[in-house]
Amino acid sequence: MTGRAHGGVSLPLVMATAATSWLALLAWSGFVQTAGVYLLPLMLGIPLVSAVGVLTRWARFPILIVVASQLLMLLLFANAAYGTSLFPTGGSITAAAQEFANGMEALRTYAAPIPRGVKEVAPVLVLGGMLCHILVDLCAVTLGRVPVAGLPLLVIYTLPVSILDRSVSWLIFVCTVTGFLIMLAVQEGGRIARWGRQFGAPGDADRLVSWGGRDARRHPVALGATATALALFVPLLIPTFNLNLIGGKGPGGSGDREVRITNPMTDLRRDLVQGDDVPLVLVDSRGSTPRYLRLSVLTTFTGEAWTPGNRDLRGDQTTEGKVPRPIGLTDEYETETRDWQVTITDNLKSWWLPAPMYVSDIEAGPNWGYDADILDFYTNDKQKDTAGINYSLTELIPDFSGRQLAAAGTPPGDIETRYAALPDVPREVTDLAKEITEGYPTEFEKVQALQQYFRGGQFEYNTDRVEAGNGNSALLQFLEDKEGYCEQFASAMAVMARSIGIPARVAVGFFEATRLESGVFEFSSKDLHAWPEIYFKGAGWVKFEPTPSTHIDLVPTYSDDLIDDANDPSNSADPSSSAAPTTKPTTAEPTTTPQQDEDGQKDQDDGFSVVPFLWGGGALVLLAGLALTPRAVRRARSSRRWHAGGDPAEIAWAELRDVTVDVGRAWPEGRSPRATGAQIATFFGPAVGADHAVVPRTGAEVNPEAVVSLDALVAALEQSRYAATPVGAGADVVRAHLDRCIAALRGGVGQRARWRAEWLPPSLVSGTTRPGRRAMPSSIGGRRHRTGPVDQIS
Amino acid sequence: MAVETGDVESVARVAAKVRDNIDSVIEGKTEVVTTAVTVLLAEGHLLIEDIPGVGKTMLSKALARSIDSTVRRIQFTPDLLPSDVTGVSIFNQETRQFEFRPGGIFANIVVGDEINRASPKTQSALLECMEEHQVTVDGNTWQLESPFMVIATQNPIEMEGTYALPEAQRDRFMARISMGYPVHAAEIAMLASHSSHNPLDDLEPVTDAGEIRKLIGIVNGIHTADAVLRYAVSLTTATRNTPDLNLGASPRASLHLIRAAKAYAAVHGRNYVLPDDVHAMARPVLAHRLLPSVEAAMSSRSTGAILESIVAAVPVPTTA
Repeated sequence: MTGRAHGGVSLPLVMATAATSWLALLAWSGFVQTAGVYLLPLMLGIPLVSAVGVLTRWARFPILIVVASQLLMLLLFANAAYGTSLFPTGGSITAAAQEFANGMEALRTYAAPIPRGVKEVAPVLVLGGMLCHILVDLCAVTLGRVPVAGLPLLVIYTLPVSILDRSVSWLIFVCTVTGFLIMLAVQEGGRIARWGRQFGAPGDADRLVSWGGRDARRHPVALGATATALALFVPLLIPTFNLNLIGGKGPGGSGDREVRITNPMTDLRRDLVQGDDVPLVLVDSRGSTPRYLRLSVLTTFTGEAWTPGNRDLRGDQTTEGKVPRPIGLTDEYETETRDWQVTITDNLKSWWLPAPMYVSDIEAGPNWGYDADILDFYTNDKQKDTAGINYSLTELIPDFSGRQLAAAGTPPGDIETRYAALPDVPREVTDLAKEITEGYPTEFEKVQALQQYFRGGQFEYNTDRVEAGNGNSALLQFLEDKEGYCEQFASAMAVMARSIGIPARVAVGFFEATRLESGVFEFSSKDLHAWPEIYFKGAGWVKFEPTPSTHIDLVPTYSDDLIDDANDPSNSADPSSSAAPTTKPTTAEPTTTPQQDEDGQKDQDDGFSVVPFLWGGGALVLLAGLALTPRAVRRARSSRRWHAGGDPAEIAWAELRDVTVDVGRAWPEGRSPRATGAQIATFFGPAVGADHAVVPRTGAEVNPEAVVSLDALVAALEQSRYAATPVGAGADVVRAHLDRCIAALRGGVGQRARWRAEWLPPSLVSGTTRPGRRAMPSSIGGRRHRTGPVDQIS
Repeated sequence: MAVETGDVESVARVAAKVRDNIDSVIEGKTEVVTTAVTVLLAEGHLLIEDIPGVGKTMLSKALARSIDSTVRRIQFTPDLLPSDVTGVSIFNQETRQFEFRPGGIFANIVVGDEINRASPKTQSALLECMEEHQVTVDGNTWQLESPFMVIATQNPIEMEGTYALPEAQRDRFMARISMGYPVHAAEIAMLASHSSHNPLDDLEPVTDAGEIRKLIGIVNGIHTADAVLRYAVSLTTATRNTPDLNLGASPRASLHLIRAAKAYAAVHGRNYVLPDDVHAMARPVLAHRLLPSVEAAMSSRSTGAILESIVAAVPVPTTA
């Protein structure tokens, strides 16, 4: 890449390229929940990169310089947007780099889509997006190869498909392809226009502008549109080729696999591991994402396994109307309600009815009974399961906070007896639990410590190489290998909680639904999950999330709440609080704790912010400063030269060299002053100040006055370099000669080159010696004298 | 030892007079004539190599006649003996002693026509004379009078029965020039002036040996900056390092180059040497000393073209 960039590219192509890049980057919205966090900064960043490209190409810099400038713009933008200062100071760069590192960390930590609370990933997406755009811009504009630009665009578009394993909306596809076609059309249009005239329509230049009936561009456009349409619709018509381009599987799904749940735990892993992802439960919950849909609760640990235990199932407790308030939940906590419409697909055959954790009303018919203590729903008739049924319910959403939970007192005795009971558990498990929770004064903090222990990064989520089971032996194996799946995380945490006397149990169900095109949420077999529930006095059963963030991206908010002992009035009197360790689990990794509402109540977009625009304004100011810098540096260099003193002839010569390079002429390196002067004289143009846009006639004969001055400069330099006793010329005389030469040099180039010489002087970046630019041998000897005799025979 | 500007101007003036004088008989060959004058002032010897009839002998005679000095012409033939060149000791019956009869070489300007027709023995007799400006016969050494310049001509075609000059002898010539055909107009002018009488007859000397001696002294004092010396040496070094040449320029070539450049600067009225002077003299001074490699010879690249590319590739030092 040593060539020069295309200087004369059309602005429409640049704009089309920028717009297409941005549209293609819409496909990345699957990575985050709120696409605004990266799309808005990109709306500014991409045009900035394009603008830098336009300027540098216009100045006819080498391609490498163009790309390097764009990369520099990217870094400056990153600094302005994510650093602490608009200008790249050391601290600001460090801060921006830290933001980027945090983003990378967040990408490793969380499963896509990154929840809305996690802002750290934005820098990675923004910088990645700008980098992709630089690639697209390089191919399409700088190199002038629009078709090649399709490759980076394709990469942008397919990245989410390969990483998220999910399709991208067909609208984005159409937008990107349309943008790409426009880019092609703009370039081809320009090319056709350069041909001069159309075939069959001689001399009618205006016809090229309009899109007349015989316009050469009509056919490509029709072809492009047809190809796009075919790409969209042909896959739909081919039944065996399930591209699923247009999102959404539709209610009922197409899978033929059944998920049968009779014993929740044993069925869980089989359903998680095997086969396709089949839709199981469809929920209409008025727009907010449903999470933690519970099938059953396992209350008893036998040492071999977790089981539902003995249930108090009475015939009169049917799911028709109000159900009792959840055990232990007092009025101390405010509650909200949310209505659900649930549809079970034919694929889910379960004796347990899927329902949220807290339910106040349910209408599911007389076939289903409930356990009043536990509030899970079980079939009264083993011949009937959940396949294909519909029901409605009202969910109760308590507003827990960490501080309230930490202030909870000791659980009642009967609860403790029933839910903290443990058979013989290996000593290692008990010791480990004690070690983890040692030093935490409250039960809540102990539970937090346990959750953080599992989510802290030591453990890996893995369903492949792990033995099924949640008994003692499986538990030991799990704690040793630090590898397992949700069932083992949940049961391990519950067992450990019980081993230190905290009432705990394990819930089995679904984690989080996916929103379909229709607005309905879908739980599928891949969403099957297990989690522990811990009892707190006054709050009742509260769920926690020990499964690592690589699989479950967020935890209930309260479970991450920082309990500050000093500010907590209930603990301030407690002498043990002073002994509380300073290393709270939540402070260990503050960057990876999403401050996310547990049930996704606040789905309104908070991604829009004025901050990117402030950054953008700052970047513009910075850009303006950058634009003025080369001129200032160039002038400072010139003035420093004269003030530093020295031989005026040498100074004038160096200055003349810089001016020659500035106006875009090649300075002949490695030649004698006289030969160089002869070459420079050919660049001289008339020394008039008129603004002629066309390139004027140049040559030694055009401006004899300047040639005399140049001869004087050359003579002074030769005297200074080669004479035994140099006859030094006065600095004033030399400067007068130099000024005349500079005027002649500027007069020998067009308006644009003069502008560039003033504002973007290339002499600032060109080195002092350029062996590659050595003059052609034939031109040596120059204007003033001929070489020796012509030797014909040798 | 800086040379006064006035001295240099006298060199330029005399050189211009000689040049104009020769120009009156040889039309349109200013550069060749300038080189010839330059070599004269640099105390070098000149080899003129070209096809017959382009004015080789005319140039050498005109140069010789422009200077009021002793001129000898030796026509080299295969039967020419070394003693014909250097001189011979003859027993004088009257004085009953050996008497030295100086050969053709005893002159300020010696014109050696068709030097490649002489036998190697005779050619080599020239060697000592040219290099050391002295003649040794029968153990007696005679100094040659300054200025001393050998202008040899040779004919590159019609090589049958000729003895090509060995490299060692070629190296002793400061410069080799070729006349080349005259341009169209010059040839017409020549026909007009030369058809009636020999223009050489009208040629009057414009200077004398004594003045030339003085000028040579001035030329020797011309200032040469370090950068120029470096440039000359990098040129000769480059000829030794290129794979295109089997034989590069000798240190004597470097010496000749600088001396020629000094004279060239003086002829142009400067009391210091420019890289351009070295550049201008590089081809006439260096080309005839180089031997192309087999590859270059087979691809028909002349030493002149090879030298041209070398000179173009060697950068001029920018710092003094």
